[in-house]
Amino acid sequence: MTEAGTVAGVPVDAVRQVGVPRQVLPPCGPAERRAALEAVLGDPGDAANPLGDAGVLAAERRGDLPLGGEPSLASFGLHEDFVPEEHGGRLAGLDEAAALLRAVFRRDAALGRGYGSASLGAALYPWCFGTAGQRAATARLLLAGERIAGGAAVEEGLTADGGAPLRLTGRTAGLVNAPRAAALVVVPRHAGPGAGGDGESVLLLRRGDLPPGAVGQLSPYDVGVPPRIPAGELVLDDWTVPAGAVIGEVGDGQWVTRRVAQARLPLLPSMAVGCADTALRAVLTAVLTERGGVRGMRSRVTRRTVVGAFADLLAADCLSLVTLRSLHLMPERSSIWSAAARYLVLRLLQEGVGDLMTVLGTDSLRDGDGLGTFHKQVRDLAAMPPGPAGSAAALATLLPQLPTLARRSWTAQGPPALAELFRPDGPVPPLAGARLKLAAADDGLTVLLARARDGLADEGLANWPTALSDELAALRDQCRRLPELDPAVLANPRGFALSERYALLAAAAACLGVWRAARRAGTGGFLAEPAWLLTALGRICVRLGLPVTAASADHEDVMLAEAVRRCREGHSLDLYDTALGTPARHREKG
Amino acid sequence: MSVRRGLAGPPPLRVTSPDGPWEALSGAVRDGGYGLAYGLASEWAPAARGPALRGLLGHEYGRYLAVNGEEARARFAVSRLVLKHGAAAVLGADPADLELARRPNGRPYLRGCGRLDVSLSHTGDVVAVGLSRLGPIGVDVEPQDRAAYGTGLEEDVCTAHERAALGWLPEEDRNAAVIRLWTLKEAYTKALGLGMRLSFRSFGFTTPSTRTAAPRLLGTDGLPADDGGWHFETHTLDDRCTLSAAVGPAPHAAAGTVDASGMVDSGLMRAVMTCSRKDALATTGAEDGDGTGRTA
Repeated sequence: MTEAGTVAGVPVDAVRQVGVPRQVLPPCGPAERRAALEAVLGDPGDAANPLGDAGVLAAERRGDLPLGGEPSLASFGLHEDFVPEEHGGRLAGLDEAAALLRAVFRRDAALGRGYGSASLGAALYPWCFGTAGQRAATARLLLAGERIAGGAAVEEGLTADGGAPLRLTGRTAGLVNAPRAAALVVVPRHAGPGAGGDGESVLLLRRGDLPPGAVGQLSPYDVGVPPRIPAGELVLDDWTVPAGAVIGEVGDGQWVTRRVAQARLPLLPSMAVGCADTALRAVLTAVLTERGGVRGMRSRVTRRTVVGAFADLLAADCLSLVTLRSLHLMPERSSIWSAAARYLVLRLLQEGVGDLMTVLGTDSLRDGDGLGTFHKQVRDLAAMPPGPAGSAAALATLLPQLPTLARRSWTAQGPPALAELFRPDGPVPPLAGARLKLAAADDGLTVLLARARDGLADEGLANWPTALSDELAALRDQCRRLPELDPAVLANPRGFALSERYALLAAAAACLGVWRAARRAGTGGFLAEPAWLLTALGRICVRLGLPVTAASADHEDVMLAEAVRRCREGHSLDLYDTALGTPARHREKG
Repeated sequence: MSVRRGLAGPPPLRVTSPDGPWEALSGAVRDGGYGLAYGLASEWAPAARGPALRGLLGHEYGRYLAVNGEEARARFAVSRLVLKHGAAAVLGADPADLELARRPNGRPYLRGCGRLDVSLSHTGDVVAVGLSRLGPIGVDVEPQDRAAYGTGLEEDVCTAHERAALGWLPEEDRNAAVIRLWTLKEAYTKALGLGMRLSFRSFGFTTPSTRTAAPRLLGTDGLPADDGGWHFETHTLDDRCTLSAAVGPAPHAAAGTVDASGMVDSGLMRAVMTCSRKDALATTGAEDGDGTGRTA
């Protein structure tokens, strides 16, 4: 901490002072910002680059973060992208922030989490529900390059007695970055009756206010946080919480946490698209260089698997894009899409990339020649939190909404989602936490599938998979028969299966929306072609158990050509087609 | 959470009817993270002809009808019966509520119940299933006396190191050893969802000296490979068949049971419902009601 103010209870006049940005950041569009970060991270293929594939792998073997990684991100000012523009930072849309951090995840997920996503996730509490003072203090802290830890879950081991002021006793679970964080977001349970009742309270605690020694370091192996990132715990004994530390109201912790989770939890899967990107690029590079026992480009297995992984990656990116943009554009409607993304995005990435192992032929276990990078990214994807707890929360959000949405929505008559949802890098209004709702009144996303029922020939898509539209109608019929507002009838494997079907249909609709937006933009390019859309939808149909017509050879050729081009030219394989690690001077020339 | 290392888990549970008893399987999944069970199609045949079959097969009923040959159709039905009744016992759910779906690579899973991974295998009359609340699981079963050694099979499935190791075994043990290696490789690639597309000669296994010791993953050079926390084991079923299983690690698996009702956050579910109900009330009143009201 460099500032003398307190996070808690900052006087109003002090807030006014810091409300004015201390420095005016030079304006920078999202694509330029990504290019600038790529230039800092450097060429992934350069063996001498500590942030290149070989350097990252060597660091992982040493049990370290890559050499110079965090200082490079600090000098770039990546932390400015976690602070909303109104507070002097660069954060506009969460979709842009995730796409930017994805560049770090393409190198090393641990670096991305330790430097970025952990702080961004915790900072969403003050951004969504903090007072002006709490937001200003958080901005000041992050803009100074400090970290915020915590906020991942309600702390079962830390209790607050319900008095005023609150007093805390107990210890938290392992918190990523806690030993080096300048502030912590913790959500203790209330011990019993008192001023705060039975609930929980979200607290933003400044490290400097905590008693000495309250934050202990933990071995990452003991607490299930990723190795290579410092982890710690907060241990307190009857400690009095400073005035003004509560985010929201005392006892509202669950209320605040659930709404923040709606915005926070889809972020990491979106960043993890970067891990799948690098894994696919590593395999493609091995194929193109015809190394060792790896199958060649003419192999059926290679072609089918590479195209499948590429299509799944794009589908995952489409659902992430729609979800993160909806948090800004349609916050009242975003709950169901956020849950679908949390349920599905990581799985799409894991399934697409996991199958690439078959391409490695007799080299499948080798980790030389760049294949170590593939295995590392597969491991990182498998270890991406929150694991099953995440799908439990996603199911709990999806399930109760299905009977209601089936009655109110999912037909061609419903109002469609805003076209702005589907435009990468399109402007969005600032996040308004108070507008986030846990249940959506209608669902304009899957309406796209219902409207496509009679085909999209007039939009240049000759063979729309009508099975998807039929599946939405079938899901609607099934869910309409379920009683509304009756958890007991829903919380069973039949209900879980319906939720998964919905999530897959939402992903299909997101793909259709992104394709249509690219087409209407009239700028041409790969995203406006039907090849990727129909391949991605075909894979979703297979997952739904729907009959699929054989994949068109033309589409496979288009997909492969695009993947190979991006690999050869060093571009990302997601929706953004970002040039990787190009030094700034080269970009200006080109 | 990592899989047990070095030792094989409890022997596969033999089950003769949908009624189980399944406690040993639930217990194995609860305590060790994964469980194995098997049944004989001939013993399960009455259940496979029962009226409940259609409801139990659900989406797969059409596929069942399309299977050629009565015996193959019965085996298809029995494999689903064993899998769904076993999984339902572990999940505390109704077997007819479980939907067996497939990933694009063909790997089966229980739709919406990804926390309990499943694998199926059959040979002749034997149907085997594996259930895991850790990482992915793969099982494979083959008759022990199936001619393998000397048929050229070991050329297709074994690394040079494995073939050399087979040569060190007494002549009479070599066939069983090839079957064991083969089933291990099938189980591992099934767990990965890659099937035969992954070259069986790109990895190898040790030949353990005792039955309870777990085989280790080897590279093509015969040296121990980084198995990433995978666990492998082989069992003999009724002195007739070899069953191998591969279980992947789970970075996030919680200890204990995988009860279906525990798969959702019930407090969150109630909060979502409260929010929905407010919307329903709001449609007759003020715009959007107080969807942000703080009682949810």
